[in-house]
Amino acid sequence: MFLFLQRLINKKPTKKQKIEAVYKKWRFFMYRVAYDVLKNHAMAEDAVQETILRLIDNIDKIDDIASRRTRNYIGVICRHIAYDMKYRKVSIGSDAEYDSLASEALSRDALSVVIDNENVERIKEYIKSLNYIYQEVLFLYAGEGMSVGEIAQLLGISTKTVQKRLERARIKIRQKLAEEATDNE
Amino acid sequence: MSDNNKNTDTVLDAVIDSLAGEAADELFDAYEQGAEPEFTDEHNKKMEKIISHAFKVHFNKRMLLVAVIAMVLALGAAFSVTARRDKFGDFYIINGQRGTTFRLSETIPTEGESAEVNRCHFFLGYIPEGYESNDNLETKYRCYDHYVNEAGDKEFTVTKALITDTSEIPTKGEGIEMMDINGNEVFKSQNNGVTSLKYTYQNILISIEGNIDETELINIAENMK
Repeated sequence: MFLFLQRLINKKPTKKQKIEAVYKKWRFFMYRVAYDVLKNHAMAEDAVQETILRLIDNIDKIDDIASRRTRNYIGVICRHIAYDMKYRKVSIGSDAEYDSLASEALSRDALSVVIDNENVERIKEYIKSLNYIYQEVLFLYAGEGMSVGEIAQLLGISTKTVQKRLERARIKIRQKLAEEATDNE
Repeated sequence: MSDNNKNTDTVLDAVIDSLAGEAADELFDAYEQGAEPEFTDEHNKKMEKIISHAFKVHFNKRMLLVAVIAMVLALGAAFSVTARRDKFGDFYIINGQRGTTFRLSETIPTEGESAEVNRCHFFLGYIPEGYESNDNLETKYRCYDHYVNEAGDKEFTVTKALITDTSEIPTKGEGIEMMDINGNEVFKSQNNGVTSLKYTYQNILISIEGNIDETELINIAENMK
């Protein structure tokens, strides 16, 4: 009897209650993220709706509704949708832009890059300044611990594209660090 | 690319990955604060609808119609006469709960046609060594000969029976097999160590069954006239 009551009290929220709580908690946040990209009230509202629809399909990936991790996860999805709406699925900063980077050997002395506090801050800035298509895969992969397959499913792109973008994101940052090291010499 | 550079890249990639979460935190912190936007009524209604319909199983009307039609067809097929019956000689085998039954497929013979049963006569071209007939019965609809061995622990029976509406075989699907004996389609079944061979001949059901060796039983059937 006691166990039954305890179970009743500790009853997990249903998926519907969960998505309702997610919307209630993060609706303004989602709007601001979307608005920052779209600069349009109606479109930002649409992006919020789309984000919730996308979250409905991935609600199991959300554990703690109020956590920063959940917020970042929602933020990445919302921003992805907002950019999709803005560019109507035409990818900006075409992947080809970075193709040369992938093949280019970064000639530098391995010891020239020292990871100190200053560099840590710089790397974070570089990550934040990345094009969103590279940033979002990096956030989801390294920040959220999602697999390449999960990211591909969530963003509606192929796993190959996810892998390419991850690699290019890292190359871009490495290149910036190397350039800076060369400039300081 | 030199090994040194490769190693540096690997280290840097690990650092980049470890900082991605922090960078995301910093990036999205900026959106946490700020004026609360006022959503339009249209948006609020839409959100209400999205959430209330979330996780509900939606049926597309056309899909539902197709599913219903498929179900009706499947049920129709499952309950159709031909689907439930397997042809066996002049009979159908119907899988019932109690056992497999033989059902007369055509008309039930009239009493006049049952004369053949009344002329109950078996000619067994082969009787296993040591077996003797110890009992026989002859009625208007049925006749049989019962054979036992000297020890009295092995026996077999040869039966001719006019098939009435149904003739049930006391098995529930154990060792069921269709075999050909002298051009006859023979239904073989086994239950509790008793093997049974059944086949039909002019509205007569002929059964040979017993706890003797299966090959002996088949030998009896093959040599029966």
